[in-house]
Amino acid sequence: MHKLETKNLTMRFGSETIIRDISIAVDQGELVSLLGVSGSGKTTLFNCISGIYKPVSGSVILDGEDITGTTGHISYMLQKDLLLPYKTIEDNVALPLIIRGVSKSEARRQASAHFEEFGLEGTQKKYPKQLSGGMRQRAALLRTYLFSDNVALLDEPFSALDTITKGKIHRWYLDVMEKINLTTVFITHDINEAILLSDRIYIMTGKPGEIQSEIKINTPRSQRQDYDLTDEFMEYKRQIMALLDHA
Amino acid sequence: MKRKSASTTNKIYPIISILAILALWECLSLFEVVPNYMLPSPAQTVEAFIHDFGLLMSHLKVTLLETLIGTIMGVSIGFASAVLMDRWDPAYKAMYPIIVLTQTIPAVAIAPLLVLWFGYKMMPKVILIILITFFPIVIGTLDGFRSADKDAINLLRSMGATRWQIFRHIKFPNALPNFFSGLKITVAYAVVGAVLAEWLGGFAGLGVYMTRVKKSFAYDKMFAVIFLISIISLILIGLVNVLQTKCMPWERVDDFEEHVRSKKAKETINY
Repeated sequence: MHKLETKNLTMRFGSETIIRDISIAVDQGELVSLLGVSGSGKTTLFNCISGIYKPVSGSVILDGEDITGTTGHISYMLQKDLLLPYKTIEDNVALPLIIRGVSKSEARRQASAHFEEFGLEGTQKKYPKQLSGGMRQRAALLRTYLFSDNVALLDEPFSALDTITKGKIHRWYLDVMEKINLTTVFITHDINEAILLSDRIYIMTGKPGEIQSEIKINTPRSQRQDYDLTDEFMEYKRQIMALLDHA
Repeated sequence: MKRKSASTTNKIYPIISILAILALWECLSLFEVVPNYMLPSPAQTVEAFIHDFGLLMSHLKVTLLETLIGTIMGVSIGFASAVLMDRWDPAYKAMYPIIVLTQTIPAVAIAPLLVLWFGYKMMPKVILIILITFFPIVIGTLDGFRSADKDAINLLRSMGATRWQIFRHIKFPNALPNFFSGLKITVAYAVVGAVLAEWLGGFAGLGVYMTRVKKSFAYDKMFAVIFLISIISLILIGLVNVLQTKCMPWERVDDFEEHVRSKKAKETINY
């Protein structure tokens, strides 16, 4: 059984079909990317999976259970960190627990257990604006993780960061994923990022957006040091660019 | 350190300008450019203030009490209306034009009517203050509710948050800056509103004191009471500022960027 599965998801706004017949499957602990140009409906697909939109047809299956159109099961994270400026970092990351009805002190306690793992030690009492962009994204990811250690949807989470910070956060990200073993669906329009971080890549093209092809990255994630400098990496990149060009 | 010295220099300019105005005023009355009975000098004003201090304070008590009751009620009603209008769209559509309309009626016009309908006691003053304070609060707060980040609301919704939780964690804190801006305007207006209503009919209060000294041509006392009203308004605005910093502690901390610039980068965790 797959961890998360979408079956023939179609979403329409008015008469315009945004995504058509999307079927993807993600296994436990897997990191899968959705790669596509802007406007191919990646974000719409995310909103359908997270339950914010109810798809016109098709279904979302989590652990064998139909969760189509219901929220609260799958966490997501956006390019904007969406940390609330008036809450300290610990209260920000603990927010999903508080929403779930956990008491404030208990939520803080549970959250504080992960600060070191996420490289956030010492930031508990700080406000978001006191942190650098990269640190804020880390905090946002911790919040996503505390929301649900089931499945996380990440919508271009690092695209607002500068190249150097991005490189560092990619390494950190692979590291942290190794530790927490979170099942992740990752949206990106950055081919390098997709190859570097994923086990599998779905390529989404067209208007309306459809899954065009699927690519498996064979090198395990734990062996991806300087992976972006290897020939294998380049070969994948060439392959993906060809697929995108043909669309 | 740099910031502190900058704020000290910033304070010097208004102090100089205020002193210049006082000096000009003193000269105008000293050299009788304007006859002294019409424009008492700052010194005479202070003298009158000290002479009538006890009387001024007893009237001030009444005015402040009216201001307090009126403001608390006006702010509460304003806040409650903003919540209602944010929550329920028909309420927004029905109330918004009426709220704007009430603001087009000058307070000077409605005050005598209020005195006529509700008598010379506290009631008409409080009602006038409610009418004055209501508007900045309801508009500001509503604006704050409505300008909350849609993505942040969606995020909470995806977590399964209830409407109350979205209000409590997003909308309410988002509206706090607007609420306090509204409150600052409001407290200053409220004092003036109270004085205006007293001026038009009452037994006690600074407005009543004003009508009495005006009738006896004691312009030094008139200036003294104007001075007092200004001071009170400033103090109230100051109190709101204190309250605001207490309620919004995140406003007091430096940005990450500023932090780096002020060479305190060590304290901030960086890559």
